[in-house]
Amino acid sequence: MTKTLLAYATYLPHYRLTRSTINAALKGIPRGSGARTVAGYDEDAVSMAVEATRALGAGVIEADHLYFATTNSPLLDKSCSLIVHAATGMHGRAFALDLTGLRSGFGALKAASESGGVAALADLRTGRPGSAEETDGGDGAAAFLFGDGVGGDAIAEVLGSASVPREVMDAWRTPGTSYALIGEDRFVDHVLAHAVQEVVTEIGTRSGHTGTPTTSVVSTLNRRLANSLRASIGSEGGSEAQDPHRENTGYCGAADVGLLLASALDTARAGDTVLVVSAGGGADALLLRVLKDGPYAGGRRPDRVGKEIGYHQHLTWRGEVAREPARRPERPSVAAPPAYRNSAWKFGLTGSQCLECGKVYLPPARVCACGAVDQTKPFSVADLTGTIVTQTTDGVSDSPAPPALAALIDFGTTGRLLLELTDASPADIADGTEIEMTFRRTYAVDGVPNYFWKARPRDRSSQ
Amino acid sequence: MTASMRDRIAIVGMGCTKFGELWDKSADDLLIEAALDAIASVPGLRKDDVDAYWYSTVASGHAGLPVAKALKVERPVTRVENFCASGSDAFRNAAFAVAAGVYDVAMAVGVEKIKDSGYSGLTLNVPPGDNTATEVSNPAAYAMLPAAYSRAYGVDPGDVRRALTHIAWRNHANGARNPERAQYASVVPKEKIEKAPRIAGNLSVFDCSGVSDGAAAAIIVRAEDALQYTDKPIYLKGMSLYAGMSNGAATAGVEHASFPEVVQCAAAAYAEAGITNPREQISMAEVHDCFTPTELILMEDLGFAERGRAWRDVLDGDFDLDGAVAVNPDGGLKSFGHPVGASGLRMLFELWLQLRGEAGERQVKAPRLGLTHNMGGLPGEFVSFVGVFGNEPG
Repeated sequence: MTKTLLAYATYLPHYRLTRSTINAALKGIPRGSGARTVAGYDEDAVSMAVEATRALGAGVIEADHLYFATTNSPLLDKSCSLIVHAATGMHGRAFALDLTGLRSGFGALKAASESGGVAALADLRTGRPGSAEETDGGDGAAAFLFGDGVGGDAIAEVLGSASVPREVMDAWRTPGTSYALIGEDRFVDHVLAHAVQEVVTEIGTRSGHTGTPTTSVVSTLNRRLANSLRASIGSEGGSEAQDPHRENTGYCGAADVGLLLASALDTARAGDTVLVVSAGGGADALLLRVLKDGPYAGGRRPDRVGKEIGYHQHLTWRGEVAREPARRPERPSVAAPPAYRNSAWKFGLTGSQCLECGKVYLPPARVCACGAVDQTKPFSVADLTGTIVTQTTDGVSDSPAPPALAALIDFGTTGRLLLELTDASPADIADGTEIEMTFRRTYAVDGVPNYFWKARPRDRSSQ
Repeated sequence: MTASMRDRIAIVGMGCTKFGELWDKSADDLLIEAALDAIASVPGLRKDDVDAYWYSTVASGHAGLPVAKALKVERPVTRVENFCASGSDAFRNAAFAVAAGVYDVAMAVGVEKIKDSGYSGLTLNVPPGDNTATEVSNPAAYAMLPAAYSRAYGVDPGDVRRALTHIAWRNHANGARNPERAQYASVVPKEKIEKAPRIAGNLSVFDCSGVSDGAAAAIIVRAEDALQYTDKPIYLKGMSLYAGMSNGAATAGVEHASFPEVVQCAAAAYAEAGITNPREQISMAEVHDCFTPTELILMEDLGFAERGRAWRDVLDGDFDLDGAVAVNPDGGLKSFGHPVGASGLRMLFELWLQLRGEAGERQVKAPRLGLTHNMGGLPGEFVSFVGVFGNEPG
């Protein structure tokens, strides 16, 4: 049966770094246009994948497959897709898998487009100071939900995919390093140009749609090459998606192909064909036919108004510059058994509601003050908005972006919660400020991340 | 129904070390000093006369062994830990044992060696958990109080701030009269307090208790035996300990402008002690001024001020040394710092001096009843202790 795209969503972090700021810091010359996105100090590929996947809506819960793609997995050996699974409330019999490498974003898309389910693509792109990878890179996430049938809520139908694999040293990274090494660009141009040409022909043959697609977008590391490859396909549409993406977001590694596809779908009309090409290690392509005029109303829309940060903040937040920590006790390392037992709370922000009296407990409580014991039902506040009851700056707690902010949050229930605020400065918050919940990497001990939820002012992220 | 502890036991001896950054003294040194001073304060009492010990510390020792090892005693020793109210709870349990007739003489001794940790604040050993607790420093947790108080009662934030400054100023001024034991024993001008850089919300370091090492101890006997040990015993009139369900901050309507645990705790202690008008009946009170807004709210929760009026009463000097209720006449946590396991007993030590008329230039005029209030936790999840004591039986 033809698979269809049922929902898509993107997540772009709140912060951005202008290219003129990078150049001014490194060369003393503030030149270059646009900006790249920068994940907050409390974000990583997992937390951003969670944010994008949550924005897909309720269909995620029923999905049978989850493919999580990143080149920046916070943990190896362990499947981080399981964290995304737990934090997005997917059902307990779904298959979750991690994919890695720059091509993994396309891989997740292809896999979900064939099996149905969720493709969650997230990445952070770093490079050595002064490199094009740093300047032209970006951080972000995109998520797609595929299912069966062309009726109802379907946004687009999958027409087919094609691959032209080439073993080529075009971009690579050695274990333990935070930057890519790049092949000589004229050589890479040569190999990828041929591969893209072949994959476009191949997908036409395979899908039976041999005409030029209405819209084409090409994801590849080099910005100039991405533009020329897109132009080589000859589609009318696509530059309106690709150009602003490269200018205002940057190349987002494994998530890049997803962010490009989402942008292309935003401006597509019913009946359009959309070709998305991943160029690297050869070329891979996916062809869709749009069933509804964009933009898709379900995903949250980009506002592109991120907060500008300095170059030193970018380096500090990515761990390239070690900031003197506050003189505070060591944070507790992640204790596996309690995290396992309390998974619904830790990852799903699910408390309990007493069936007898209706009182909400955050975190969950077995015994209610009314006397009821084990008479509870789950009560999640992850998707609720709340208001700040009272708040304060905290210049004592250790934070990569001091002062930390804390607030007591009212969710309109009996349960209230003391939470850290993120993506906000002291001037942004006051008593009564509306907040939404966001899944974050709260800290790491010996490199092992700890995740929990924070509050942020509503509509703050440039999603 | 619970039995009353009113006039069942008496304190007949006490000891208290100097509090401060005591780099040259160990936790054992402090324990020995406080315990032996307490014994020495009772004429004729020998170490062997103490039948049992309750030892409070949060992070400076485990089990009862530190007392047995340091004092070289072969006696039952029970370690008590109840956050910052540990010292008061050690006293409470020793009092129960004596009142029950199990022991004739019991000692409560509290010790904390905070400074050795290298951190500028209290550190706790937390058990392995799911690491979902929001990381909020103690100053930040309490910095939410002033704005909540302003909102709850429609008080101008500037007036609240002036009241906090007055509390810091007054407690330091009281501490300045206590150079023998206080960590900080100098007057801090109000202008200096107002101008200090803020560390959390609208609080500066002058709104926070100090961080110090220290120890204190009390000797407890049955009330009817008290005059055998001293001619000026201090009698327990009523006490209460209350551990909250940890949903205080989650209770709509209260919202950080009151501590429900303290209100409940004070009501129980007052009922036992026969207190119907705390402001009129109680001469002096050592209260848990871990942060200045805590003390402001405690004035209302303990019934020393009407709801929404404490800020005014504070500024009017009603809780100064010569006010309606002398609050923290020894300088409080502001001047003493907060060696957690010892603080409750340090409060009791000042009450002991005051009710015996031995507080020197801090002496409150003719006190009859005094109060200690000691609590631990953060807004929303407190343990609270209130004790009422008098210098006459009946």
